[in-house]
Amino acid sequence: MQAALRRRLGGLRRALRGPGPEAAPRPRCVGPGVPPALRCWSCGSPLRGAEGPPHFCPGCRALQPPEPRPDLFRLMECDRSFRIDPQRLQRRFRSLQRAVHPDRFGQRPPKEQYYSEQHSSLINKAYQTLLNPLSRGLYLLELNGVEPAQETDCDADSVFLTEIMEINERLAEPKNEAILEEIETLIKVKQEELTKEVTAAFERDDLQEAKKLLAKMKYFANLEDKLKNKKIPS
Amino acid sequence: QVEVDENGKIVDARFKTFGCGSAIASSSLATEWVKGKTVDEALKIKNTDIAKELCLPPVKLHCSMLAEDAIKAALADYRLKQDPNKEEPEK
Repeated sequence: MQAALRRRLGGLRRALRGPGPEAAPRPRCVGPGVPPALRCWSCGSPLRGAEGPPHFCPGCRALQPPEPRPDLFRLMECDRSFRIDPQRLQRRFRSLQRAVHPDRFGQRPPKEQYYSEQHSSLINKAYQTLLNPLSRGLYLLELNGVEPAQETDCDADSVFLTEIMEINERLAEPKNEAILEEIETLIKVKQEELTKEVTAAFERDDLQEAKKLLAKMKYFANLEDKLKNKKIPS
Repeated sequence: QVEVDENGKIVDARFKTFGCGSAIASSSLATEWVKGKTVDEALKIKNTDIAKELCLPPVKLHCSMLAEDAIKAALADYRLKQDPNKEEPEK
């Protein structure tokens, strides 16, 4: 009985575990600030080196707390790259949530339920961050120690700003379905273009260029939000 | 936009700003302040005055700079239209 349990657990843990420590060198700016607990909070069994949360105690199967500052790419089993496979990301997301979602911990002790919430929330955050090109790009910059463009940076080119201003002005006009459709298409096209350029910039490791392009993408993301708000019937 | 009479006094001003509340407020205040001033007086308005009046938090100080720049740009444009022979640097 114990052996069968251990085998199932081993299989589950292997599925959940991310790539090993030899996969990529640890960057300076991300990593656990506090060493993870070395023993299970529930039964006291020693925990093997925390490799890719979430993990369950080998002794009593209790869910352990997530690491303090996990690498989201590692968590979602994606290479640390701007290029991702959205299907693979989604599959990983679903499989992780199947293991840790609070719905599955309703009968467990409060502490474990709390850890389940933390894991689930972290996985949501990781998924959303990596799914969206803008947030993915900004996160990559952060991992590489590059600050995202600040509001006070004044080197945005005026041609670009004029373009944004014009779209803003059109959005400020009274609601017109046809115009909104047009603007929506324009924004989508621009976002696709920029995403391609950002991909290329990251590929050749040009982080400064990626930073500039991501700043432009932010403008379009804001426009997209404005447009969505405009479409909501008032 | 500014409207200036024959005596060099700003009689009307309008703004259009897309951005955060601080940016809009700064532009709005700048518009109110320039009305009734001469062009030279209006050029003296500093972003620090605007920021102080609005009690802008430090993170939003650059919004008041935007308003000051806008005043200067509008008036520079006005001056350029008054004297088309004068060379004006591109902003």
